[in-house]
Amino acid sequence: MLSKLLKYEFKATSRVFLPAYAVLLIAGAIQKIMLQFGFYNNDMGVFSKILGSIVPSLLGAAVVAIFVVTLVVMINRFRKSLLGREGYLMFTLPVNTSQLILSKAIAVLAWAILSCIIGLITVVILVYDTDFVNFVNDAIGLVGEASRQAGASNVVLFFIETVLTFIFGIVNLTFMIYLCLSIGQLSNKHRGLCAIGAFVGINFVLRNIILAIISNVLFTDKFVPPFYLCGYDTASIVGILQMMNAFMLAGLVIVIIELLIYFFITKYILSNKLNLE
Amino acid sequence: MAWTFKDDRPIYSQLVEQIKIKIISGEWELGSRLSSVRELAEQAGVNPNTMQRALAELERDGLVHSKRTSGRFVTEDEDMIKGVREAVAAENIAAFMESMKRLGFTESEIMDEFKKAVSQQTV
Amino acid sequence: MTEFVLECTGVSKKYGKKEVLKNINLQLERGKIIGLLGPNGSGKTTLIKIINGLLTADEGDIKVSGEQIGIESKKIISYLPDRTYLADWMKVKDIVGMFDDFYKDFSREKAEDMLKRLNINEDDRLKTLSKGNKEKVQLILVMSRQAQLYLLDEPIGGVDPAARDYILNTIITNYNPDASVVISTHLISDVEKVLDEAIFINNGEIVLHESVDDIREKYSTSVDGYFREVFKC
Repeated sequence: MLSKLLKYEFKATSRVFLPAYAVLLIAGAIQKIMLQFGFYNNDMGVFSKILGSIVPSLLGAAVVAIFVVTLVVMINRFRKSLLGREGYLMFTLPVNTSQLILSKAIAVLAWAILSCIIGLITVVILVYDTDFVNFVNDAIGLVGEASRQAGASNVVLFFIETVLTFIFGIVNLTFMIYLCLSIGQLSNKHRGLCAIGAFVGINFVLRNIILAIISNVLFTDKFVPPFYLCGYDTASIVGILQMMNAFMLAGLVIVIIELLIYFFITKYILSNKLNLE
Repeated sequence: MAWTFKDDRPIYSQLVEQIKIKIISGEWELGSRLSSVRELAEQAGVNPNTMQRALAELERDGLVHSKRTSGRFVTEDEDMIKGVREAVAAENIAAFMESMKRLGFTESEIMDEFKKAVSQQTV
Repeated sequence: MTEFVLECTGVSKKYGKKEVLKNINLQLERGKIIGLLGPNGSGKTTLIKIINGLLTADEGDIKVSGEQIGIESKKIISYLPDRTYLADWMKVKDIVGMFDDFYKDFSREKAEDMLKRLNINEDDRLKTLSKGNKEKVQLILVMSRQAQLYLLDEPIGGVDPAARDYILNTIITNYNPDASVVISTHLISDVEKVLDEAIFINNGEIVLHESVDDIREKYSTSVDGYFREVFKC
């Protein structure tokens, strides 16, 4: 059932993302071609100078726009498809509330990752030249050097944790937004206001409470490493890397605990206190 | 012929009457096969259970009978149908007499009015 | 199969201080078409929403074909809400495919046949359909399922008389002795001929639950007429 829900979720959202990606990539390619053939270097004077500064920043804006679109879709899909008219269909399908929530979260995560990749590709298209190739080679060399000095496992761990932080960060944001929207739908007349209120409440109050509890329970010297956040030798690269890994891991733990809390409260609200318009 | 229903009586008994009329008028021929309950219900615009109840009563009265696998059939008993037709005719006549008497006609006046009307019709 | 397709025992629901349903006790037999009749705010829609899982009762027990409200009950309930619930971006054939995907008892052939007869093109986007056609699509989807309990909330409300006849006709021809249909409506005289039983509900309480024939015999009036008497303002 979850896979079926995902199928329809992707069908619904690809209508927004795929054209946007196509536009971005094509625009990037055009921009690159224009740059490559010195279009802007011709003596078109003011015109070329203006074009030369507008188009890149437009492109930059478009890259940002893709991320905004991802966020907007995240909110809208949940609101429209579950809490609006379509909710009358979704909540009477023979599926779990969890499956409904997860299908949307997974789809959003997939698009977020894809958006990053497309954004990265666009940027690479734009800046790709010999300088860039050299830059990449130097960077790879740096990573190799760091591996030798600090231990390959630490470097790999660093990259893995960075990716996981990104992924769980998105899931955390997603479930947090879902929770706000679910709290918002409890009200009859002030759905938007309550959702925003929930957002403020969660970010400024709940989060701090969770952080306080976790840091006092887990991140103390009464607990074992890797949660032990002190005592790293910050003079050496190994030490720095290990400390960063430890902090990221601690952050991951917090993010995951938070997202689980958000998920289960959302599930409870939608299963027991559903209040469709 | 369209099915019409009044508000104040159960629908199944009105169905019984109207089917009776279809049978004795020959609209549903002797020995002919009835459509399925569902089809009849659809034609009449009524609940299938109601139609079923009506047909069951007609079976009890003998106007309709069912053969186990082949469905329901109008009876082939011409004499019975004749009897039912005469009974319905008697009811209609009684109702007619009743309504004429309420207008103040005597029985012989009723006969005169009736003969007048019939002769005008045949012209 | 259980004897009753729906059993409600002691079902109550409050919105804040207001009691919307008070101790509802109800048993629906299979193979019946039942009218759920009552004025606005009587609790009709609340009861229907509770049965199909859109709301949770505060108290009481509900069994659909012996199942508690949940995934199993949703598999055997076919629900037609009183509003359009379809995603605008989908084409008609997309939503047909979706019902086919999620409901084992859905018959694609039946749905396609009905769509053809009503001249609704499968390739049209739902967004472009008229309101009447959207409602017909929803009805077709609901009636193309071989469910055990059909819950129709105001199915003929905003529809023209010809469409009304078509809808009632579809309900009759869809008849299945194992399943029951609950029609919640204001338009009693239109649906009366199609009903086996009538339930009167008022102020969250069931006031009457009898067969239509019995009502007509006992009170010498149609259900519509009796309703007007009972709910006189």
